[in-house]
Parts: sequence; C-alpha cells; structure tokens
Amino acid sequence: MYYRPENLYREMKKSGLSVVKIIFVLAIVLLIILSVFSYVRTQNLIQSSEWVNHSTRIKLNLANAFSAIISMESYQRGYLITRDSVFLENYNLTREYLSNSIQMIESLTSDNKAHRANLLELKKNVFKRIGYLENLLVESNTKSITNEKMLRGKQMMDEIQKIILLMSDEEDQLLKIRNAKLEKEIFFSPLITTLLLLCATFFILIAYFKIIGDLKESEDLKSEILKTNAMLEVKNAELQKSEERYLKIFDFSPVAMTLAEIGNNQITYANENFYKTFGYSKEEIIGYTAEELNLVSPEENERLIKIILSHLDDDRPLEELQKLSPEETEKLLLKLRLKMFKDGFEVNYQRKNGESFFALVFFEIVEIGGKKVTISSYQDISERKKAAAQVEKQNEELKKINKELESFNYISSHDLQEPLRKIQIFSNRILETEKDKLSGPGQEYFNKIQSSALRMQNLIRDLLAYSRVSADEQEFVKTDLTKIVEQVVSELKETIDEKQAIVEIRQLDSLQIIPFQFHQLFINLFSNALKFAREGVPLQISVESSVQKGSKFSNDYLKADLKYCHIIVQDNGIGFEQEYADKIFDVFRQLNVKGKYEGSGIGLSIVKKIVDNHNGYITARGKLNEGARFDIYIPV
Amino acid sequence: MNTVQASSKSIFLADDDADDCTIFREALREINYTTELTISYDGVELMNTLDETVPPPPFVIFLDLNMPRKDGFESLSEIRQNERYKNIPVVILTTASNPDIIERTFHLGANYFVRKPSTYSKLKDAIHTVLSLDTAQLNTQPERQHFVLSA
Repeated sequence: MYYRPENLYREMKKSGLSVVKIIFVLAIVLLIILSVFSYVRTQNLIQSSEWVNHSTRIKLNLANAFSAIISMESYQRGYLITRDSVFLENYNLTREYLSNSIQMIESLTSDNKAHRANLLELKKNVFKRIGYLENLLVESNTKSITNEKMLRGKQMMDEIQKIILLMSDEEDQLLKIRNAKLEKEIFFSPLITTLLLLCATFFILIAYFKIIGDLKESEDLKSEILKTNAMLEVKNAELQKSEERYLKIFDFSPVAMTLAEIGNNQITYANENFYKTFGYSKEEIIGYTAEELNLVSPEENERLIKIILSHLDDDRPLEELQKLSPEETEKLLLKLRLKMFKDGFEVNYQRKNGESFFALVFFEIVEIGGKKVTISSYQDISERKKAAAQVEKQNEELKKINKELESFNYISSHDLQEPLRKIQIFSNRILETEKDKLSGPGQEYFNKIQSSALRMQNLIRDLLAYSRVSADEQEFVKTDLTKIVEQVVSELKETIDEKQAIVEIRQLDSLQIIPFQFHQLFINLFSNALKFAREGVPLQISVESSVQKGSKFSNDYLKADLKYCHIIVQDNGIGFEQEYADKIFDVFRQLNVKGKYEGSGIGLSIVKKIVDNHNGYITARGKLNEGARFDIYIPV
Repeated sequence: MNTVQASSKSIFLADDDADDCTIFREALREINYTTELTISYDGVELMNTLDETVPPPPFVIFLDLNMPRKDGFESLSEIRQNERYKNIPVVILTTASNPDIIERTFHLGANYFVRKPSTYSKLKDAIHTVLSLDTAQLNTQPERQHFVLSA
C-alpha cells in the first residue's frame, strides 16, 4: 500500500478552510448589519431624546417668559411705589430676557403650526401687557394709578397665563408621546443589539471551534506523518539489512552468480562460486562483459545469438539491438526471460583453463541502489548431463532387454511349443499305427512321454499367460461379461462335454475391464473347476454377478462407499480345505498330489494377478468334497 | 504341388514346417475327401501361387502364421485387400494361441482359427469340420465366440 498523508492533509485543510471562510463572512455580514442597525437605533434614540429635550426647553422658556412678565410687573410696581430707578434698570433687563425667551420659543416651535398660532397670540398679549405696563409708568409720572387700571393689568396677565398653560399643555401632550417613544427606544435598542451581538458571538464561537478542530486534525495528521516517516525509516533499515542478507545469500550460494548492469552488461559483482566455477579471479571479472571474457566459445556465441534473435522476434538488426537504451534493453530481457529462460537455458561455457562445461542459466532483473541489474545464476549441470546420458543409455539397454524378452516370449509360445507338439503328435501316431508291434511296457512309456509333454505344454502356456498379464497397462473397455463367458465356454466345449459338465450362466454385468485378461480369468477358473471335478458326480459350474456398494459385503478390504461388481464362480467339485484358501493363489502351489490332477500351479495365480490389475479383490472358499467358490470384487 | 483329382475341392496350405505339411496331407487323405492340396512353404510362395491360379479361387486356404519371408498376418491382410482374393475363406492353423493373436487374425478377416492339435485324430477332426462346411458358411465370418474351432 502506498500511503500519501500530505494529500489527505491538503484535502482536509481545503474543506476546513471553506467552512471557516463561510462562517467568517457570515459573522462579518452580521456584524455590519448589527453596526448599521445599532447606529440607526442610536440615532433614533438620540432623536427621541432630543425631541423630549426640545419639549422640555419649550416648556422651560414658556415658564421663563411667564416669570419674566411677572418679574417685570413686580419691578414696575416697585418703581411705581418707590420711584427708585433700580427697579427700572431691572425692569429693562428682564424685558431683554423676556424677548430672548420668546425668541427662543419662536425658534423652537417654528415646525409646529398650532404653537405658532398660540405664539402669535402670546406675543400679541405680551406686547400689549408690556405696552400697558410702560403706559402706566409714563402715566405715573403725571398722575396716580387707579385700581381699575391695575385690575385691567391683572386681566391681561390672566390672558397670558392662559395661553402659556395652553401651550405648555400641548407640549406636555407631545412630551408624553415622545417620552413613550423614547422609553420604547431605550428598551428595544439594547435588546436588539444584544441579540445581534449574541448571534455574532455564536458564529465566532463556531468558527473558533472549527479552527480549533482543524488545528487538532492537522496536529493528528502531522503526528501520523511523523509516525509513517518513522515506520519508513524502520522499513529502510530492514531493507538495508535484507539487502545485506541477500548479498550474503548471494555470496554463499552453491550456484555461481553474477550481477551485471543493464545497458553496458558489465559484471559488477560475482560470488565465490562463480570464481571457482569459471576459474577467474575477482580482478579479472569485475568491470568486464561476458563477451569480453570469452566465457563462451565463438561457435556457442553464434548459436546463442541465433536463438536469442529467434525468441525476440524483432526486425531490428543485432547491432541496433545492442545499442538500445537500458530501458529498452530491460524490456527485451524481460521478453527473453519469459520465452527462453523460464525453465533455465543450457549454455556451453568455457573455464579459464579452456575446459568446457554445461550450465543451466537463469536470470532475473532487480533494482539495486537505484540501478537496474541482472542477477544471473549458472548451475553447473555437467554431472547431471552425464547422469542423464547414463540413464538414456540404460534405458536403451532396457529396451533391448525388453525386446529380447518379447522375442523369448514368442520363442516359448511358438518355437518351444512346436517341437513339443511334434513329440506329442508323433508319439500319438506311433501309438495309433504301431500299437500292435509295441510291448506292454513300450506302450506305457509312450503314454508317459505323452503326459509329460502335455504337462510341459500346459506349463509353457501358463507361464506365458502369467508373464503376459503382468505386462504394460492395457486398455480398459466396457465389456459384457456374458459375451466373454460364452466365448470361454465355447472354447472349452470339448472338455466340458467330456466331463459332462453343466455351465450355468446367470445374470452378468457389463464393466470396464481389460477384455483379454478377463477371458483368461474365466478360462483359468473354469479349467480349474473342470480339472477338479468329483468322479461320479456330474459337474456343475455357475457364474453370476451383481453390483453393490462395498459396505454391503462383509469384507474389510473393500471401501464402504465404493461400488463393486461382485462375480461369483462356483462348482460342486472336490473343493479344498478352507485352511488352504489363501495359499491357493500362490505361484506353483498345488494342493494335490502330482499326476492325479494335471496342472502347472500357475492358473489361479494368474487369476489373482488379473484381479489385482483391475484393483479388485478375490477370495476362495472351499469345502472338501463339496465344492469351491470364488468371489471376485471389481470396483466400478 | 500335388494334384489328386481335377473335379475335387482345391485346398491351399501355407506352412513352412515340412513335418506339419506331411501330417496334414496324411490326415486329409484319411478323411477321404476328394481334394486337391496345394502347399506353399511361405507367404511369398502362397501369393505367387494365388497369382498364378486364381481364378478359380481355392475352396479354402489353411494359413500358418509363423513363416519366413512373409508371415501369415501379412499374407492374410494382402489377401483381404486384394479384389481377386478377398472372398477366399482363410483358416488360421497355428501353434501360437495367445488371445492377442486370435484377436488380430479375427480383425484381419480370417474366417476360422484352429490351434494345431497335439494329436493326429484331433487334427483330422479339425480338417473335417472345416471341409464339411459349405462355401456360404465358410465365406461368412462367424461371431467372435465361434471363431476359434476347438481341437
């Protein structure tokens, strides 16, 4: 696996940054909205409070104006009573003050129509009152002031007070509204500001945690990278170790090995065994190519080039191929390795002393220290080749011996039987044609010649049969046993008739067998039964078969879940004692005295061998003077 | 070459064994068939004789297997591949009686297989059995289990 922490880190950083960016933009927008909103709110608040202030100032000036008139009245009265000019001075000052106040009111109420109307009325009345006051002052210089005239002044004052109260009331109404508005402003402005502040704080907090989280992640990644780096360092150390180990293996390999640079083909390293095998010293090898060292003879070199070119299947001429870049050479080498060196390639090398030997060459391309090199191994196979030649020679000899054996078989089957048959036929002829001329013992001798010849004939035939069934694998063919048995019965017809035997062929199966061997098997079993018939009892032979699973038979040698064809051949002949049941299949084993029952002692051995050839199993059961039974199990 | 009667059955025997030929001739004489026996001592001689005499074809050829120059198998397959001779009945008469030999001759197209008997009377019986078959019976190859005549 190739681990790339820096990429992962970049990815994560990118996504983290965009989130933080969004949050910051949101927070900034919110803060701007908040500021604008706050500013507007504050402006409203200031305005509201100004309006309240405005009303208060109107009221104050109204009150000032009224008190100024009252003061002027009292200063006038003072003067009238005392005739002190101080009162007049004060009167004039207050008059100045009054006009200032009224001017102030005028400027303050310039936007209020109702006030302006009232103010005109007020001014008119105020000037009327002032005029009256000054008339009285002027009048007092000449005559005394009547009560009536004073009362008239009071009337005028009441009028002024009425207007001022009206205006004040009106202003009070406004003030009330303005105060309510101000209170509202005072209540809501901080609330909304606080709310927005909270929102901004919330976003900034999110951004804060995001940044903290990202920072932590980047810290984790950093430590991960550090860990990976540490791991890589360990791996590198291991690699170096394994490289050293590898070189050690290389050095101590029992096979000659070299390292050669791809491109210039110079040998950069060779192991001890290489020097030993090729007979060169280190100085003579390192830095040279195999060609320069003449490791192969010119003839062998030519042969190798031819084979290599045919494997490369490249249109370019050899000279061009030799000048290719290391990368392209590597490609060609890989192709060669696959096509030519897969199981090694035999090359005839020359040692320094000129001795030639065969080596099985393998090579592999590896990277060592950043350079592509070929590792080649040269397995000295001279001994192996010698041994192989020996085996070849022995095989030839074996073939020859086999051929001789075959011809021996043929000789025994034909050439040996031929003279024997002639002994038989001529002695038989003498017995027939010259019987009268022979004495009793003479006839007896001829009979003995005949029976001996017959025994020998049987022996030769059976020996031949025995050697034949042990011969090479034969073809297994699906064969109907009934057909084989019928053929055997027809072949043994003469003897069967002679012994007045009855052969009962019951249900028989078809199975995969070597037909001629089974033919031989039935010939031998039936001949056996015919040979061992009881005198005076008509011989009965029966044969049958059935297919069943191994578990159905009480026989330990059979596999439980394998199907077997079970063939039974039984007779009612002289049988045998059960204790000999196993020995019956031994070669040359005869249970009976020679002479009475003619036989080679090979017949049943052949039967057993045939059953073995079919991976089957055979058992014999016998009871003396009751009969014999053969059970054959052939897997199907 | 041995000629008995002009109108008798013509029988060819190919066997390199002079003793066997003598016994065969005696047996044939004793059976008392009116036959004309032509003996060849190997396969080459047999093929030459056939070339000179056929047609008319012989009633039957008794053919030994083990012969010099050209053996019984070669002769048999040549006879069966030749348009002129392929219908001539061939009875194998040989000492060798291995199952594979019987099989081989059966497939090569022999009509009957007789194992050379070890008594004179059995030989006579065998010859008699063959000669008592009519041309049609002789000309058809029997089933495998009747191919070998017991002797």
